[in-house]
Amino acid sequence: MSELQKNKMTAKDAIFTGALGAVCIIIRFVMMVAGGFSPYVWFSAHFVDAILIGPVFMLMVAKTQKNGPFVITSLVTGLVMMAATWMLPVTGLIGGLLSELCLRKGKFQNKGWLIAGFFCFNMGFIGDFLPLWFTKEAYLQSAAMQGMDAGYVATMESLLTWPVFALIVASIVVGSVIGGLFGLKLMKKHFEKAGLVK
Amino acid sequence: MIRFENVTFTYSGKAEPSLSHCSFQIKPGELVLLCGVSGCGKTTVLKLVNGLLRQEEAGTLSGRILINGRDTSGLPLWEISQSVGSVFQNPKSQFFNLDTTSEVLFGLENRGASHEAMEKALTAATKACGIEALLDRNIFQLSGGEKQRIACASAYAMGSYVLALDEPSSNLDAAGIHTLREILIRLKSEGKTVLLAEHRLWYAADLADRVFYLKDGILEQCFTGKEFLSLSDEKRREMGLRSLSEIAIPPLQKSSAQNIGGLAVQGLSAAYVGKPVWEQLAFCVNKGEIAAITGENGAGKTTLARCLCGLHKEKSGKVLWGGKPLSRKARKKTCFLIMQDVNFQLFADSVLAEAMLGNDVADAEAKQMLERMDLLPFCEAHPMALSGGQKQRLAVACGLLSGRKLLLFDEPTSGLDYFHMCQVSQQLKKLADAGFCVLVITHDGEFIRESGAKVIDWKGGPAE
Amino acid sequence: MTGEKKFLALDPRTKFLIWLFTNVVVFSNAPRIFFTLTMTLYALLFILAGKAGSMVKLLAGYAVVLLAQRFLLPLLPSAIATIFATVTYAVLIFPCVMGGMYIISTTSVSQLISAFRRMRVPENFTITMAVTLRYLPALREDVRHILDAMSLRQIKGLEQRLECIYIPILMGTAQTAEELSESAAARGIEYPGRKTSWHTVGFHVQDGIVAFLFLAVCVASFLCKGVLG
Repeated sequence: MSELQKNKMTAKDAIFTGALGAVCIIIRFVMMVAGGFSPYVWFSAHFVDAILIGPVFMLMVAKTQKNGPFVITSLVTGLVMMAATWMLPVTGLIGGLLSELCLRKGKFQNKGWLIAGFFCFNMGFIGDFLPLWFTKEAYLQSAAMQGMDAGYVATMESLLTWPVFALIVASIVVGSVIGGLFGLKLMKKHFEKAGLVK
Repeated sequence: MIRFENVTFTYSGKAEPSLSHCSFQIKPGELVLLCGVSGCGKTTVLKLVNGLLRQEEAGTLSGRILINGRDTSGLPLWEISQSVGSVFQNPKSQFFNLDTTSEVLFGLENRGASHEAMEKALTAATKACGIEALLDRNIFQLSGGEKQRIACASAYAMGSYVLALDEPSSNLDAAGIHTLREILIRLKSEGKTVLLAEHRLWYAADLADRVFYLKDGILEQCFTGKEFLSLSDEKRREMGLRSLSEIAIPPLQKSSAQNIGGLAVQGLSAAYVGKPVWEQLAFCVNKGEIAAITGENGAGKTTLARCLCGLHKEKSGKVLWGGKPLSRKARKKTCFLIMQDVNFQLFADSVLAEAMLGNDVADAEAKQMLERMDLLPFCEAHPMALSGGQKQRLAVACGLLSGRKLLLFDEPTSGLDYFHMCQVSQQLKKLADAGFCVLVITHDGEFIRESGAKVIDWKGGPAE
Repeated sequence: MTGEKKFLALDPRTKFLIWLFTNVVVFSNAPRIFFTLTMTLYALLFILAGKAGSMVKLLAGYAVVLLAQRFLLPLLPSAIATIFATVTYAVLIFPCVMGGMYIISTTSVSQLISAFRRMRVPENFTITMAVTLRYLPALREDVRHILDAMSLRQIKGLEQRLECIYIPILMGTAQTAEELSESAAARGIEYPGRKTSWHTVGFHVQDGIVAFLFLAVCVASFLCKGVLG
């Protein structure tokens, strides 16, 4: 088998990716529904997502050792959840591609690059509330128009600022590191020991 | 049609070959039954025929395998799949689609068949496997038997002359196995070549033209169908094979009279999403007894197990232990369920850690229990690296260590050969002798006979 | 699924297209009247697809949130009102939610695969998506079994609990994927040529009409910006 063929995703890899992708989607969906009640939960959902998805991501890397699964999972996630916003497939594509690059750079082994790739993978999901920042004006107008008091509008205005956005990104960094390490720990503790992953 | 010439196969990572120096020839239209205890090499033969072991990373192969006179080495899997159709044992994991019709036609879609060709194949497969009523349905709403019929139809629709079936009856109840038998009869009458690997022999033994008996990777004996059927029971047991004729489930008996030592169920009713599952159940199981709960799919056996363990809330009625009513919470601490798929209930990273997880016991006590379950040599291994029977025993050990008195087994013998089935029934007997209450949900008549379980009328009240 | 032919069936590609138009209307900050217009169109599509029930539920949810926003939220102190901000956001982008729900509730997985094959989407992507959608319901069942098993054991602590949910799920998923890929390989999934689909999709008159209507709303919303609203 040539080197090129070895690095190409097979149908088996795609099936594996699909099954694990479903696990990712369930986690994100649950957090998104929880976030539907309050922006505070919504904003912290990415942090929690990152921690929870860590083991799933690391298993996907360990099992496939190829480029492709991560950008595909990001896109499928975006498509399944597109009722939320059009931006998910777009950010998913970018995040997924960056993630693939990091993983290739680390040859699917290097811990640092694995975690970097995981961070990009998580950033791909930032599209779920990003439109809120872009449609801020319309959003505040509509809320204000419907008789909200000024304090409410002011609070929302202060939440939808770019520093807050930066804070969310920072929380994803922290979440990715924790989740990534948690995932690597489970890989070693269970999957390698049970002989499921080499 | 199929020819093995001195075939030896070793899985990568294994030292010993799983199949050695195997030679045979199968004529077109023959139905060949492959039997032998778990790990004898049946599945290896099937996977060599359908090509699944032909990838480089699977293992090393020597010898030649010819299908239709053509050497299959070097052929891509999709090409082999045109001449060999396959059915697998687990109905849950072999489906690719959500709707039945797409599933039946999956093989044809993959090879880019035209719409007319698919229509033709669908009609033929529908007739052969009796699935008219199942078309255009959601696969997740089908029973195990119905799913397995769809799997057969999917293999049939590809139009291949060879069909390889790997323990298709493992997860089926009696009704499901009977329809499977009808499909086999049909395939035979159409002149298909069928390779069937099975533990449960009763539904296929009289249909087989020849029977291959494998042991430790060696094709030990080839019987004609007649020779095989005339094997004495003694000889068959010696070979580790299950019964050749159907062993019916014994008729229901009234459960034992009320005895303060064990479980008593009084007027228990349960509903699932508003619909009643069963009503006014009453039965008793004394300490030291093995009671079998039988009934077709959908009778609510699993709901009963979940209800007794406090996992499902009853609508009305009482569950008593030693004469005292148990609350739902108390039941969770008195009863333990060994699930059909025991993989769901093993969590730890070693057998010893598993035994101690959530149990307030000392290291020595846990080890003693593992010794009792023949698991001590594996105490550092990962639970998922154990065999099916070992996993089951580990789950029992966890239940016993947490001081449970009532042990519930949900289909503990599905997919087991004679030897392992006997092992499970020995285990249950030992537990009963030690004074535990044992309840077992099962479809397996042979197992009921072997374990001496009492098939109780769980809806009709205990004896006076 | 069997009665589908009686109702208006759109090609999945049309559904994606009109959903894109809807997004343009919503996110280009068009006058409110166009939101209402898109929602009316979608409501019609739901009824024509025989999914009036889901539409009523969706609109009822919308009405409840709208009423709460109008009458309840102004009464609350602003600190508490902000808690519900995401709900109000859902109202703002509601036409998109309707569009997404329309795609989900009227498209079967096989139709989606068929559409993807027609659009020459790479097969690896199509396979992954199909498996994901097939695996979602199975996953729910697995989780139920695992939660049952956990509640029979005394498992304490967050990390311990997480680990206990993860190990069987991930191990089970790996196992299922392994078996599923064998069953798919034995039915020729690795065939390198072009694949076909039993559930065919194709553009018909209704696709043209619906796409045109949504495009018209979209264009009009741009033309009327500043004039209306």
